[in-house]
Amino acid sequence: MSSKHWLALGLIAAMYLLHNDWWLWNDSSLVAGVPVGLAYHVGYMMVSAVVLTAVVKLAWPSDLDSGDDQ
Amino acid sequence: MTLGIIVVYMALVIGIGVVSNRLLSGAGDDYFLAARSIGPVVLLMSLFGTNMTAFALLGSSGEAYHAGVGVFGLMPAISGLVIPTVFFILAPRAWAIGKRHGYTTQVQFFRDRWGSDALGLLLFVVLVSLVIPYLLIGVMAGGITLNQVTFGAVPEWIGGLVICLVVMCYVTFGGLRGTAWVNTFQTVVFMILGAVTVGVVFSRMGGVGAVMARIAEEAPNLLVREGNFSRVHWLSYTLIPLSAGMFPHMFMHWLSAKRADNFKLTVRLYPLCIALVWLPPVLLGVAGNLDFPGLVGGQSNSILVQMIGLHAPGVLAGLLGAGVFAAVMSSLDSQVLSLGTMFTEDIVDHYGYGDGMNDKQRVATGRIFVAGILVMVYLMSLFSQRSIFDLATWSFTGFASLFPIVVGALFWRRSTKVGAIACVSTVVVLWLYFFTEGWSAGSVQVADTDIMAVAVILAGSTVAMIVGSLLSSPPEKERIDRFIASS
Repeated sequence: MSSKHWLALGLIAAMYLLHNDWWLWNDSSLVAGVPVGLAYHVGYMMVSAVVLTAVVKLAWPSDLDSGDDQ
Repeated sequence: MTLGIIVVYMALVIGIGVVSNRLLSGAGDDYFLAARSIGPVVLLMSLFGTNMTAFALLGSSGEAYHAGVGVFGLMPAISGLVIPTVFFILAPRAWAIGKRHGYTTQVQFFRDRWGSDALGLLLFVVLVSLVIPYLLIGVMAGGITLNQVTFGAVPEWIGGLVICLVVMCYVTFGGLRGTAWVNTFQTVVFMILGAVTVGVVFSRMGGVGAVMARIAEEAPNLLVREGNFSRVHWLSYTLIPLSAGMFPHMFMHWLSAKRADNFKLTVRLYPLCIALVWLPPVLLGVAGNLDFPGLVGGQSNSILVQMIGLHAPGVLAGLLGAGVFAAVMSSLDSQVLSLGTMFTEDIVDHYGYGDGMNDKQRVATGRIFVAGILVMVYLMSLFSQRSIFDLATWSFTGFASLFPIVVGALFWRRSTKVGAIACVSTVVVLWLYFFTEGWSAGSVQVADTDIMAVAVILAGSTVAMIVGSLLSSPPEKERIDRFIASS
């Protein structure tokens, strides 16, 4: 695997870890009227979209559309 | 009015199926795979629409009613990472191999990968069996929705029947092309209507902030995860979205793409699409505790529809009913079509029952099989009172546990048919064991622990795949080279 592939793998692993927000596990406070744990995961999904965009740029298997597959 | 809107919606959906039929060449490849012509936007919408089911709307709101806002982190948040990652790793590769060798179904793909008819037949039975509970929740959701939005005027058995008939109708007319187009339309419908619905209901309840402040006073446990999930449960649940890698209907949509690059848009936008669809039902499910306290078990399946009925009856209830039907049908159609395709290709054609049949006759055999499955599922829906969330979770548990098969097929040259059969057999045995253990208790966990059954079954199936492969001989090099490039 190239360094770009390792970077893509690292980004996804980091996102997996960030999903487990133990520090908000028992926090019932509201942020702008929304429970903080819920707000965190909505933000998490937006960041996931950005990270996956980066992963596509870094490690997309570009050889698959070559030749008669186009 | 409510019923009128739903009837108009159904007519629209059938209309799209009819238009697709006019564009259909009549060939099996066009009916089953839309002649491998699907572009990036329709691919995103059809993959996403297929994956968003009654589980996402009624199941999530019913679960959030009992377990609070943590349901959003438990399921959609991790799905928004894992599912597009699964697509990224598997879909373009499976597509390229499928196109090169003319595969139409998952069973063909795996049977050829390891050169085993026994594996193909075993997989056919297992995949069809695991899709049935998934179909069941869709039919149940149709019944519940129509019943609730009409305040009980239409009995649940009619709603389920309508869903079955409409899906059968447009799948029959349009095949995968029709299914992809209808899914695109329906996905847009339920995304927009979900947002509109939650906006209207919460504005009538005084705003999200006011509702959550009341929840904080009356049921603060719904705003946290402590007491609703354990950390072990949370972690083991992250394995459930791996199921997207083994759904037969998803696999079929992968093969319908025109180019591998068309998957890029799906990978990028999937998390945002999931957030948009899951947030409204989770919020409404939690808020439902204020207006409909004391619901037990599967009674909360209908909380979303009850909230709409209370706060926004009439036009909005009709639109929401159409939105729920859209979500349900956009999954049912693909599931139904994939079952029909597998039956035609992997049983009728593969075993020579279709010798002498033309393309139209082959397609007809698939339709008859599908009609039989739908009749069976419909009859089951008349008696099932289970939680939609639990039913779906058991189905996903089985598919996720089969994940080592697809990874082995695409990335492990040393994998063998013995390993693959051992893997599938392990899933069957362990799934049946945990299902029968947990079913009566309404649990998806292992005995008295908080570990989800999927964690144990997946571990078992992975070990079986590895050990079975290492103890047997791999297929010939030429066969492996068709699936994995030599390094």
